[in-house]
Amino acid sequence: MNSNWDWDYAVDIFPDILRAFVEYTLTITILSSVIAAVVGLLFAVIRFLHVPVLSQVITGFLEFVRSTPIPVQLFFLFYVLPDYGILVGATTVGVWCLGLHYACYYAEVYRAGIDAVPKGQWEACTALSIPRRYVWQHVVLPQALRNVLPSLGNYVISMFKETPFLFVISVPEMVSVAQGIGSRNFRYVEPLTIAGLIFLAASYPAAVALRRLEIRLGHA
Amino acid sequence: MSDYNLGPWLDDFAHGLWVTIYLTVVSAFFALVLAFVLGMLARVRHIAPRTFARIVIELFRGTSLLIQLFWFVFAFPVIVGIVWTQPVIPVIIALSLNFGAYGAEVVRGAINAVATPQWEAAVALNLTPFQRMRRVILPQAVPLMIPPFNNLLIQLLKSTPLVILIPGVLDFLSVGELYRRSETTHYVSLYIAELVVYFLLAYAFTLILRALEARAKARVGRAEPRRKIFSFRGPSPEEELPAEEKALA
Amino acid sequence: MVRRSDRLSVGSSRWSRRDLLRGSLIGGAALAAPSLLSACAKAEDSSGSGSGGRLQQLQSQGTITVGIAGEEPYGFLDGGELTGMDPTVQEKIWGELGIDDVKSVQVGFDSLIPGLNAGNFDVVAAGMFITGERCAEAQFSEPMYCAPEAFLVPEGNPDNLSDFKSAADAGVTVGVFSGAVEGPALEDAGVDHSNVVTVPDQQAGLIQLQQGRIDTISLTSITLNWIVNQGQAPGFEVTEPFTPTDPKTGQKIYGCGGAVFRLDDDDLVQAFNEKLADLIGPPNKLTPLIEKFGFGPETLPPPNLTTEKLCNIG
Repeated sequence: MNSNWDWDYAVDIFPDILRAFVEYTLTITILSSVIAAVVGLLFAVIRFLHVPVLSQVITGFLEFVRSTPIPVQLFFLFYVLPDYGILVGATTVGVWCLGLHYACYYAEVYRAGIDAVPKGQWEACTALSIPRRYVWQHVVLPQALRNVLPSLGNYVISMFKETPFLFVISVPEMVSVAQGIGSRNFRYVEPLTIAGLIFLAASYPAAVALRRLEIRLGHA
Repeated sequence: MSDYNLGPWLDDFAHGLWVTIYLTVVSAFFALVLAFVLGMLARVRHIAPRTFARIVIELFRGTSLLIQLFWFVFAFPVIVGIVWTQPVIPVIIALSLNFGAYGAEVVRGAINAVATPQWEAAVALNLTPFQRMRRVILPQAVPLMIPPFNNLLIQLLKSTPLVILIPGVLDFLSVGELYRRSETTHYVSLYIAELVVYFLLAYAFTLILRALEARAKARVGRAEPRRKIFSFRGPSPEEELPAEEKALA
Repeated sequence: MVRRSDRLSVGSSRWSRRDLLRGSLIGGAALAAPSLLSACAKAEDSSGSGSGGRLQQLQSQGTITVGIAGEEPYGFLDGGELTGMDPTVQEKIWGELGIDDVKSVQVGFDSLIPGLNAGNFDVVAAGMFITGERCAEAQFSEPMYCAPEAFLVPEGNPDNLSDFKSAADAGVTVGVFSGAVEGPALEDAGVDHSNVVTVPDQQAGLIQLQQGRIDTISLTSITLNWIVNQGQAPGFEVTEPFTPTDPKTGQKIYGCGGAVFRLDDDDLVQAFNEKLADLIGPPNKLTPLIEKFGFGPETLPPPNLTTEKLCNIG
């Protein structure tokens, strides 16, 4: 096996892999994070408010989604939804699936954050007759979010590293593109190493920045 | 309604399920060992082992599990010049290293979370560092580690489907995919069944770990009501620690 | 006074977690050790070191492991049974060389060559085309067949697909296998990058086609004809087969496939090629063997098209 590192080959394939990274991996991570952040907050607030049936349903949903593998969820949404008339592109399915999956994790994180806001804050708001929505928007959530920002960041990095799962529904994200290049030419060490390095180059600085944030917020 | 033709496949599914459980449990075991080793190393005063541990931890946390898997299964043998006689071995190595790195951070965090007076009292009582760790710190740190470990274990379980790309290792999902290729019309029920099976596995693991946590807590005098074991999983790792920390102080 | 029983009761009654860990560490090591030790077979043991080693080794073992991709009709599982053009030929040839047990391992197309080089199987039988880039990394047998390309289209061929360029003109989404030659060939012919969809396997591709996620599938005509004849794609038909031309040189690119071996296993390739040449003849004993999979005399490789030539076309 010709295992010497071939620089020409590596340079040749680098643009394709980088493009897949930017166009798909990065974009998907950002979009999914937004979905997860927003939907997760929705879930958390509903659970906190103990809405009669909805809260229990959401709790069950959260547990179910967090306990099942992403590939199976992807397969399910990708192949089964069209049978019910919902036909969307692979990338859209991927973004929503990852987004909802991590929304379930975010909901738990928000819950801890909201629970950590001292009861006194709530009581003071009641005493001052501040309307509910204002309480949430300007008193509770800012404090809750400040508490859990590092956790949220960690999950973004996790999500980023789980984007390769999307290959099962034909999304051309970076790792599957690297693999395809490798199997086209029968040389796979270079493409996979490049993909690995790109991952590291993207996630390590993010992890370092997160740790700084943790220390600043007094969690370390 | 067309026939599911499950007969010939039942054996394969059962075997696939066994492989999934086997991979999860064995990798979890080695990951646990690694987590303690790396976690303790990362707290040592001497800079060399600390840096080494840090590098290993960051390397395996910072790169994608899929790439680590490929590397151990395909690249490593070629580079070193060996052949894996059992394809599961590199899979277990990759899983153990990856989750061991995450576990190391949990171990480190939990040990740090044990209240300072405990350390001081242990020193005042003339306990050797080994006794200090074993009799005082770890018994208190361990209950703090279990919920995050639970989450990591479930994540490990959820990562096993990656072996669909590895020749020779057939986990439950891989068998499902082979089945789908053969009996293509039944993919809806197949995926629903797979979701349910994984959920049940995850719940079973959670129950076991909850029981372990109850025992660990009882041993340091912080027993919890039995009922709690059966409730669903609580908050995830990062945010559980600060609250517990407050409880101990 | 600190009694022994007091010390013992600090943090543990019978089994402390540490004891549990220690016990299971020893137990686990005891269980895992034998398998770990046997896990690393030195390459020297399992490589033929290039001259007469591998074949003899396999012959004495009586078994050979073949990597397949599940692509019908090249090599696939039918109700758990290994069948297809490649396995049939392999079983015949290895049988004649004294190896009766032919095991198969089905993986994704992308994992075939890495698996071959990592030792997961001894030969790959998955309809892989012989190309210049690939020849540098692995050894192909002499070609077993040459297959033209085609498209799987809705009945009536509404987009008028005839060759790769027509796909570019029509702006359709085309499903291809990862790592197969069709992907880059389509892009070279002008098909937009986002219109080339990589499907994980044949059946998934068919589902996507039927759901309308992709407009067509680009594979060899042999595969597509098989799919239609097996009734797996109701409402779809196969376009006229075509031999693609390289847009840069204008040369015809023949898609000819062979079995794939490791670069070291010269003896294995030679033995295989001898038997293969014997089968192809004349007299042609190969076609009757694989006719039922859709390989007729027209798929036989042209007489002077050797692997060496195909490797040099690149």
